[in-house]
Amino acid sequence: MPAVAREDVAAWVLGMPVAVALGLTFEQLGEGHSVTRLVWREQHSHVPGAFQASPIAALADFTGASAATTMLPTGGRAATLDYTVKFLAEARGEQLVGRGRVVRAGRTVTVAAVDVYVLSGEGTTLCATALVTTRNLPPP
Amino acid sequence: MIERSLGPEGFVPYVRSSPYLDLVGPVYQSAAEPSIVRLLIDERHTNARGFLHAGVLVAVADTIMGHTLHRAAPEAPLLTVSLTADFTGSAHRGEWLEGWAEVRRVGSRISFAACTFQVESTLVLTATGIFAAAPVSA
Repeated sequence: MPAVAREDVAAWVLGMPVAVALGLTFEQLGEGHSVTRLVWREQHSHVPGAFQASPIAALADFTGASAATTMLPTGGRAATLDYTVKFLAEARGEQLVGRGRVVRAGRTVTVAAVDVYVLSGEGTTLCATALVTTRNLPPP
Repeated sequence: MIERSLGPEGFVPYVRSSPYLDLVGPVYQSAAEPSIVRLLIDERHTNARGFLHAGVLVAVADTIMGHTLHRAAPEAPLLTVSLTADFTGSAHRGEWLEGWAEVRRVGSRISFAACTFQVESTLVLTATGIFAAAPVSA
C-alpha cells in the first residue's frame, strides 16, 4: 500500500492556500492515520531555530482533521469542531512531524489524537499532543 | 473591494507582530484597546469553498491572549502551555473577523486568558489559553 493511500484527501488539504502558506506536506495518509511534516521557516518562529506555538497547533489540526477525513467516503470532508493542544517541550529543531490517529470515527463526529515531534540534530522530542474533534460532512 | 493596507477605521497595524503573524495577517489592533483585533479573511486563510480554516484563527488567538497577559504582567516573557479552541461558527472570504482577549488570572508562574472571535454578530471561535512565565536568563 502506498504511504499516501488517500491521495484525494491529500490533494484536498494541500489545495488549501493556508496549507501551502504553512508549508505542510504528507508523509503518510491512510485509513485512520496521518503523518505530516513541516520544515522550519523564519515565518514559523519568534526565535531563530524554534517553532512557536501557532504553527504547531495548526499542524496538529491539519494532521488530526486529515486522519479523520480518511474515515469518510471519497468527497467527504471533516471540519474542525474543537481542539486542545498541550505544549510539552520547546520545539527547537529543523522539522516538525505530526502523527495522527483516529480514536473514534462516529457517524456525525470523529475524534483524533495527534502527537507532534520536533526533529533536530540532537534527536527527536515530543513537543506537543492534541485532541481534535471534527464534524463529518458527507460527499455533496 | 476593501483595501487591505488601510485597515478598518479606528484600527492600526498590529504593533507586536511576528513573522508568523505576518504570514497569516495583516492583523489590526484597536487604537484604543490593543486586546481587540481585526483580520480580513482572504484567499490565503480559506479552504477551497472559501471557509476560514481553523489553524489561522488559533494563531491569532494564541498571540492576542499571550500579549494581553504580558501587558498585564510584563515581568517575564510567556510560553504557551495549553490552547483549547471551540469553533462555533463559520466565516468566509471577504469578511472581517473581530476578536478580543481578556485576562482570566495572572499568577506568579502560570496565567490564564480567554478570547472570542466574531463576524458581525456570529460567534466563530471561543478559546482559552494557559501560559507559563519563561525562565529569565541570568
